[in-house]
Parts: sequence; C-alpha cells; structure tokens
Amino acid sequence: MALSIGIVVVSFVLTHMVPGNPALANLGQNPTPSEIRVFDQRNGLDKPLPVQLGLYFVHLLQGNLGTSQQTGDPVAHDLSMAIPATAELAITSIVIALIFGVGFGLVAALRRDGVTDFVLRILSLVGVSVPTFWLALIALYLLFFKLGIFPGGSRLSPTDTAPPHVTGMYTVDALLAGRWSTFWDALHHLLMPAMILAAANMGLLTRYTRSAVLEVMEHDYIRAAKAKGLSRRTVVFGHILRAALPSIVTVIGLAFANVMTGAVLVENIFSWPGIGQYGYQSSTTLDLPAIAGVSLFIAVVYVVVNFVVDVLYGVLDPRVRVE
Amino acid sequence: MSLLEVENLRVHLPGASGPVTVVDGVDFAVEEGQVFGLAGESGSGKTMSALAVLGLLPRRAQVEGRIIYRGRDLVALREREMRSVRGREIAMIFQDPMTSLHPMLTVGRALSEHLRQHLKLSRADAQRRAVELLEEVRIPDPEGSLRSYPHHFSGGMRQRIAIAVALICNPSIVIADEPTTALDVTVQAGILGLLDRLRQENGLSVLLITHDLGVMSSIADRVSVMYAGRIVESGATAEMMQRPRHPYTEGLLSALPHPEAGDERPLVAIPGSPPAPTDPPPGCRFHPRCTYAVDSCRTQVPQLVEVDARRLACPVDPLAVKV
Repeated sequence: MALSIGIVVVSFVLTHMVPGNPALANLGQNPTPSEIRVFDQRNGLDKPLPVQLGLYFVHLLQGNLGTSQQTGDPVAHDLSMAIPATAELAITSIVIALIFGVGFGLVAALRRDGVTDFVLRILSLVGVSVPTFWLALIALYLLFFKLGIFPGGSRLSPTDTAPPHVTGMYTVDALLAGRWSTFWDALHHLLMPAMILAAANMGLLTRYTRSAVLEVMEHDYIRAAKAKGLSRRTVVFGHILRAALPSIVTVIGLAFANVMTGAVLVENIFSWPGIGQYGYQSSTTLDLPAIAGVSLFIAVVYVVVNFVVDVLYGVLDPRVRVE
Repeated sequence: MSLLEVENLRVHLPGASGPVTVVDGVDFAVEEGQVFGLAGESGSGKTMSALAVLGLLPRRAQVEGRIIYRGRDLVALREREMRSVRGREIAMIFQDPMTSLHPMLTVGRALSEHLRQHLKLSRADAQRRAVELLEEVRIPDPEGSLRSYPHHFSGGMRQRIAIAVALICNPSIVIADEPTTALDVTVQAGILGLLDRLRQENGLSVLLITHDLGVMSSIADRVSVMYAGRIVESGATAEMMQRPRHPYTEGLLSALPHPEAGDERPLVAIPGSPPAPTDPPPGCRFHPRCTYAVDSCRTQVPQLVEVDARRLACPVDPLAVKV
C-alpha cells in the first residue's frame, strides 16, 4: 500500500517535471498565448505541482484518473479498454513461453551436454538476444506478407465485429457469446504477436529451467527417489520438476509482469490497441494524465504479480509456509 | 550361495583425461540375514561399489564384473528390470537425512509412493502400512506424521523416516551408506540399534558402508576394508578388530580412540594421504604410506589370499613381523 502511494508520487512528479510543454505538444504549431492559457487551465496545469499532486490523489480515490488530452475520454475508461487487449496478448504469450520454455529447459537438463541440449541452448540464446522489433518485422514480412499465414495486425478482421463486451478479451468474449468464427478470427490475430512476445521469455525460461533442474538433480533426494525404483516419469515430474518449480514460478511472474507492461514495440507494430500502444501515444503527445495512469497501472501490475508469486511460493514450498 | 555376490567389480568414471578407475576388482558377498561391512576412507570406492549394485552410478560410468543377486546378474539387467529391483528387493539408506528426503513432499508420500508402485497397494492399504512402519521405527504420532514434511523433524527422526522408507517394501537387502555419520553421537547408537533390531526381526541383510570402524564393530558380522579402489583385507569383524593383519587395517584401528581402555595410548594417524584415483601408485597402493613396506610392494600388486579364515592382500603380515 505504502509502496503504491510512493509509486504514484514518483510517477506523477517525474512525468510532470520532464522538460516539454504539453500545450505546445497538443495545440499544433504556433498557438496563441490565450489558447495555451485555456489548455493549461482546462488540464489543471496552471496550478503549482504540489497542488496538482494533491488533486490527483483526491481524484484517484474517487476512481478518477483525469481526462486524456489525446482521446478526450477519462483515462480510467481508456485504460479499461486497453488493459484487456494487453492482458489477452500477455496471457497467451506467457502460456506459449511457459510450455516451450519449461519443456525445453527440462529436456535440455535431462540430456545435459548432448546434441539436444546444445541445440536448445542455442535456441534459447537466440530467443533472449534477438531484438523483439526485428523479430516482429521479420515475422510480419514472412508470415503475413510472403506466406499470408497470419494477419498483419489489429485484433480482428475488418469484416468481423467485436463480441459483446464482458471481459474485453475478444477470444473469451467470443466464446461466451458462442461466436465461434469470431473466436477463431481473434485467436488468429492473437497468435503471431503473442509468439513474438513469447520468444524472449521462452529463451529466459529455458535457461532458468535448465539450471534449476540441473541444480535439483544434484541433490541426494533425487538419487534417493531413483533408489526407490520409481518410474522415470515420477522421478522427473514428481520429484525433479516439483523441486525446481518455485524458482521457475518466480521467473514466470517477472516475465508476465514484463509482457503486461512492456509490449510497446509489439503492440505498435501489430496495431494492437493495448497498454503499450496507449502509453506510447500518450508519451509522444505529453498526455500527462494518461502517462500517469499508465505508470500507475505498471506499478500495480508489479505489486500484484509479486504478491501472487509470494503466495504461490508458499503453496509450492512447505518450508516457507507460515504455520 | 550368498544372497548377493559381487565378483571382480570395476567402476570407471569419466574424467578430464580419460576414464578413472575408482573401483578396481572388488569381490564381496552379503549373506542372508547378515550385516556385511565395507570400510575405508572417503574416496576408497566403497560408495561407488554400493551404487553399482543399485545401478545408480553417475551418467557415463562404466561397470565391469558381475553382481549376482538371487541368481540374476544385475549388471546385465535392463533399466526397466532394474527399477523393479530398486526399492523392492534392494533398498538404500543415505548418509545425510537432511538432504535425502524430498523437502517438498510429505512423509506419507515418501513412504507410500514406491510402495504403491511396487506392490500395487490401494491408497488406504499403503497408508496403513506407512503408519505401521513409522511405529516400527518409533516415530511419535505416526498418523499425524504422514501429513508432515521432512523439515518438521530432527536429523535423527529423519533418518528413522528414511529407514522406514527403505524398509516399507520388505526388501531383502538394505544398503546403508554411512547411515550415522551425519548424526549426533547420542543419536547414532539409537539408529544402529534400530537397524540391528529390524534386521533380526525381518531377516534382513545389510550392506553397511562406513569409515567408522567403531560403528562397524558394533553391528557388522563380516567386514572388508577397502583402500584406493581395492579390498585389502576381509574377515569376521571381531577377529579383524582384535588382530588386524593388513598394515592399513591396523593403521585405521590405531587411529580410533578407545575411551573405554582408559590408558595413555596415543592416537596414531596414518602418515600421508590416499592417492588420487587418477594417479594410483604402482604395486600395492598403500605402500607409500606403509611402515612395513618392502621392495616387492612397490612393483607387485598383492593378491587377496586366504590366510586363517581371512582374506589378505599383503605379503608382509604385521602380526608375524611383531611376533
């Protein structure tokens, strides 16, 4: 809680102290002094910074994040539209990263120093080091432009309409409405950006899983599990992966927070109307309420994810459970 | 015929410059209902010999020789067949109970998972048997303990649980690798007494591995002393403790404190240190540290020969020299 307040203050003050004049950024070339005064008054920019901060807190408690200068809508409304789009993308991408990253890491560790291990390690290194924007452009060129396997951006085909708003995630809403064709269309649009976002985390998870599993395999209790004559599957999943899970979960949590908040490039390249795109547009136009809103969202995501990881840690490892 | 016969066992581990021979032609036999001891310093190859019996050597280790258990050669068994021997026919107790139990699995799971796999018991039957075993190893509140985790117990209690885990499938042989070394001296006697009692009640055979000749003399029927991968002397425990005939056995015994004797006899350390397995000395491997060494010791490998109901690999009999 105290952490959240601190984050609000820091993000608010920082965004308002950056050099640059929001009025000039928004009013086009050569606005008249009176136009600037009207703009500043309307957006509360004429008051001293501490007063602005105080007002921001008061409004925040009322659920009011201010009004975006860019869209003209309340920031809270803009965020509520952008968050589900990003969440849909982030969840899909983290599921992809988790399945392949943990799978690859486990296989690499079990086949340590073999050809498979070597290939998977190279693959994870590539995943971690290739810049996302480059990967996105290459994928766009090959899979959309050349091969036409995936659509080139946005959340739905122009011929389709958004399903009735329930969660804001098109795939889920389409399923809830029983609109199968819309579901497939939304999924089709979702997959390529999700895979591109997943690449780096997949590489990261492969490396972490591999080293966590290798460390666990050194332990006496794994040799003891083998000495009990347990099947290979039980030893690998019930004992080795089980013990490696807490450290893997930590990485997954951080990776999820990253894609929730850091999909700026991918969202822009794929015209994905999520937090990344919203944040990018508001910073290029110095849309201060929107920037503060996005910063607040990012802070909340990290606080929540860390909390969830801590709770999961207790569930997974009986030694850290409070009794 | 013996229950378990190991013939001319050799174990080579992969090393930086070619395979390293850590067990070099070892023979021993475990008789039905007896405790057979393998003694020696760390690095003498005793643990590797035991792991070879269970087929649990590190990856890429090579095994030569025969390990005959009830007429079957375990070295030739497939992994799948070997799994039905591990835990079911031959079980193992490890040195450090703080690390040999999986920290995230309950005691109930540790006791029942291989029991259910090997004997196809129902959950309820497995639980009943688990409670029985915990009672047998004198764990207070057996039923409640099933839901507890290893970190809820002290070292001594954990070793009792590990013993229960090893014995729950009624194996005919238990390999106990330094079962008391990691425990307080006061707890050691309790664990040894427990092992001895269980052996008598269940007609169990024990392959006891320890560097502690005091532990050895308290429960082993026969003992073989290993040095640098080879057996140097074997015979009935009491006989050997009173009249060691190999200079190394004698050295080990002189290094053992005898508080009950109460005399001023100083502890005598064996000079030097054991050879690295990568570079064993020629001839008798003990000759660089041996006070009785003669010229032939430096060139000829002494063979284990039968001398007065004992097997001895030394041309110089310290007893004869002293007399």
